[in-house]
Amino acid sequence: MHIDDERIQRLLHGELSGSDELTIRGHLAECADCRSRLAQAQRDEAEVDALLREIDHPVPTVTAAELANAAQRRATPWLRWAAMIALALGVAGAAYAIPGSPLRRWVNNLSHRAPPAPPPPPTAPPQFPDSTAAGIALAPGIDFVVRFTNPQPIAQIDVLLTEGAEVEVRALSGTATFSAGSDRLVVEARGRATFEVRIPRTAPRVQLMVGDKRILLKEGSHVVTEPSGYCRSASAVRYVCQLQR
Amino acid sequence: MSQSHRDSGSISGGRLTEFAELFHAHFERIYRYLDRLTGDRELAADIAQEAFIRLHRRGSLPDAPAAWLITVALNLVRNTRSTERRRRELLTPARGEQVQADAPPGPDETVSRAEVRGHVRATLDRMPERERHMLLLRAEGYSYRDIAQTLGLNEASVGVLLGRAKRVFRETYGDVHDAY
Repeated sequence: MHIDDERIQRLLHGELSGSDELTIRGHLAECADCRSRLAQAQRDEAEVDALLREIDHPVPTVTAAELANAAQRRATPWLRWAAMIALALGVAGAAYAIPGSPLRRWVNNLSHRAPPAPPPPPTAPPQFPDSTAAGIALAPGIDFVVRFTNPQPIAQIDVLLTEGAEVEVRALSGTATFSAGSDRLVVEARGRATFEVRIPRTAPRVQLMVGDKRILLKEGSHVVTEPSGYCRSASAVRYVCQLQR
Repeated sequence: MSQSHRDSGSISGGRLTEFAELFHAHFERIYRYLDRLTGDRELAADIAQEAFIRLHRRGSLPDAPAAWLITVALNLVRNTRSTERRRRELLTPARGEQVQADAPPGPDETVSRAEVRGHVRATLDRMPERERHMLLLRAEGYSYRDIAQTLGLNEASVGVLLGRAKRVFRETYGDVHDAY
């Protein structure tokens, strides 16, 4: 009993189950006729593949991010508006959270102009947020850039891979101003500052830039710190980038 | 395989990573399949990109992404061809000129290679549609399951049909070669 054409092709293409393949290879070891048919099928396949390659053209250079952006540009108008409003609210919230931000002062001024409320019960003196609270959190999209504009005052940036959904940047010491866009966050450090950057594991692509230099790239499940050499892996989920060397 | 589209949505969150991975796994294969199928590299690039844009806008990933992408791309090819055919009937016959303009022999290319390309193109154009799709999909490494799902075949007989498709290709290529 010889091997039928279906199984010759399946053997050629790796489409046989493990036990079937073992049986068929056992038969081939003993049957010259079937070995000859398999060899002919391999030659036919190679000849067809070679001829097909003759008509190939270079693959166009396009990225997943470009196609995702094109898809988002086609989003229906109400979705676009909803996204813009959500982004504006997110940026405003983040701006309010930064200590000393003009938005916080403006909101506080407005609230002070409001009619006097009944006096609150006595409480502890108000606690002003210290610099450890300065930070921002944003949804990263498909390709996101965090850029520190001025490297001089930055001592260290700790990068953590998290299970969260947002890129978070916090000034652990010193102060900073943050400017957010849909696909980027610009951080301007003031004073000698250290930062913590939290990157969601699920973010497809996040770049960490200092000035014009990329110091870390997280793409899919890979993290690349070369060629700048500023960052080193401290654990499976933590990278330490020292800029003052 | 679900073919329903939810055009108001888009892929987000962790699905973006899956989208990027699907793009890396399939874009090149789908482009090459379409390029070989149509002989029109610009059309192939447009349709391959459009298929991925539609995948993104679908809002969720299909159960069998490879078969979904190929099916969408094939439908786009068919729509484009029927639109082109209508346009040709109304306007001027520009398609034949474009095909010639796409593949002139370059200064370093021998005449024989240009001839081979012409013969391969003519062979594919003369093959029955099912055999042509099977040959080109398998050449891009698509599984028997993907091929069966895309072309509506019984997966158990894909091997026999593939063997037949290769035989038809080689015989037709021989006929074309002899005719020129």
